[in-house]
Amino acid sequence: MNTYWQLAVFFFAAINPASVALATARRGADRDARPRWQTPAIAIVIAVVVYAAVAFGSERILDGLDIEPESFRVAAGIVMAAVGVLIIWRGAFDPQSEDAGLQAAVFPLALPLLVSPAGLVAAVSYGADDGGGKALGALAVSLGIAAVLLVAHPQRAMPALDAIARLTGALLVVVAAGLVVDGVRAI
Amino acid sequence: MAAVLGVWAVGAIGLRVVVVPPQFCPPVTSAGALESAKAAAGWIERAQQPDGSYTYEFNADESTYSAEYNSVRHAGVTTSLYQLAAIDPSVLPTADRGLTWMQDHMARYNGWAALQDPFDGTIELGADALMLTALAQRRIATNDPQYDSLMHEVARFILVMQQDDGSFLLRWLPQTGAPDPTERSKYATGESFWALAMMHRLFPTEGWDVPTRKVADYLSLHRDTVEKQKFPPWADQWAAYGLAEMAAWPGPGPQLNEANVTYARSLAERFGFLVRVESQRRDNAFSDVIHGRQARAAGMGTWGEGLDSLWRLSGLDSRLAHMQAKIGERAACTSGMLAERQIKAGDPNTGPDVPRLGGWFTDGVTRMDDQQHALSALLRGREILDSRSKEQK
Repeated sequence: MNTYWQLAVFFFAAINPASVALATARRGADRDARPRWQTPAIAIVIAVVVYAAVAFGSERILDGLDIEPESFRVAAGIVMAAVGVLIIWRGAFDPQSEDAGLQAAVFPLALPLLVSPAGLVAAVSYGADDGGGKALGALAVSLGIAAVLLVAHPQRAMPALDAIARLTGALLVVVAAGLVVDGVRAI
Repeated sequence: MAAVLGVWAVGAIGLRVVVVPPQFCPPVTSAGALESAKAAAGWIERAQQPDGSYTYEFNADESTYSAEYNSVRHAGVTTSLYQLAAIDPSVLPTADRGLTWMQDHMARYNGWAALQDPFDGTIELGADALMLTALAQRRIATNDPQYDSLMHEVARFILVMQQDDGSFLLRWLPQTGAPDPTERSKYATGESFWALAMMHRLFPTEGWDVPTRKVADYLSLHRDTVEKQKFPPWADQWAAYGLAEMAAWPGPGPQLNEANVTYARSLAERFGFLVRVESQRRDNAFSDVIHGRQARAAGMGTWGEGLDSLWRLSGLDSRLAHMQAKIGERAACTSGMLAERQIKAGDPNTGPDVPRLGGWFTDGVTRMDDQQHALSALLRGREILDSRSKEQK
């Protein structure tokens, strides 16, 4: 079992708010159009709903897949490590999309930036191990930070965001390694 | 968005196929496990030779028998039969014939006795440790004291082989009249540990606990380093037997120290991981390539024995109590896989001329320790299956 604050750090690494903000800022820079606050708000709501469903349904998901939570930790760690390495390399994902406004809230902002493969597998794994409520509570911290950054839209801070995103990617690799070891060493 | 979802789907499928295929633990009841154990004993019994030795290895595809023999495995098979004898005394004559074979090949020096391999003349610790566990299991099953003296003779040999740090040397050399100082065994240390632990259980006033605790600490603290285990801890089911035996010793507890408990925890983790991986393997070429070949029953049986022992230990020592449910889950899974993979009546190519019934075969071959370890795991796993069945009700 992890503490609440451990989980908060793990989800911070998995969701990587700086990377989300960086990707959004890059898109905004391309279009020279600042997204309105509604777009991030809708994206955050979508992310909360998806993560809540996954975290609270994690045991059912794993039962359905015939996978023990201990074994899933290894898979989750591999996904998270791969995402972490990609972020260290690129800073942020750059999903190709012409969508704007509210449509952009769904794609690419909610999916795949906020609801990412790393976030999803982390929600399943930690939801199964620590409970859906605790996992969602820990997720809320990262989603809150992401919301602030998205609304603030700090385009002038892009270099800082890029650095923070890559450091967070490195943290994700460390968290992922710990999760793999935990999965291998579990009964 | 479709492209992103497509990439995710491909990744998820790849992950599913390569890293997390479904785990399958066939259901088995306590009665089913006992039937399976008895069927394994039946295979051993039918294949026993008139001199008390067992069929060592049989290749069903070629209908050939191996000319090899191994006195350590002989003693191990006899131990498993005596374990079953506590529930099913009908196997006693078979086990006693196996014991007679060992008695026929004893060497005696300076107040101790040891099994001397009739083929190569070696006196090996593991064979004697398992001979002692066989005698102890016979004592428990029958309450018959006729071999108490022999047990003490063999136990004294084990002490001859023990070093000051609690570790053991593997062979005693008749030509030098001393143990070979150069060789140890990753198996024999745990086997000796369990044997000595049972000596203290059966003869609690004789001080067998002292050498037992020494080896427990060596196993817990030093063995993996000194003996250069590449992926510690060595998955040592004999050590698990010994720890469970120690925990059940009479007298005020807890009998295990913190190092022993930490070691027991690491063993549970190792056995649990091995069982989880095995439950993801299938009997097909694709699974062989991606996840490795299914383990032979001798290997899987040792995991089951280890988990069965640690389950008992976690019921006796409150420091491990939180692990008991998971350990039981993995042990039950092992029992299910073993029962499912055993050759049963009605399976093809099973008949009096082809001894397959009740055995476990890998690539058409079975060795006597396949039946030995599977038998012990299934037998001892019944208590766990009963316990889980009650919980589910």
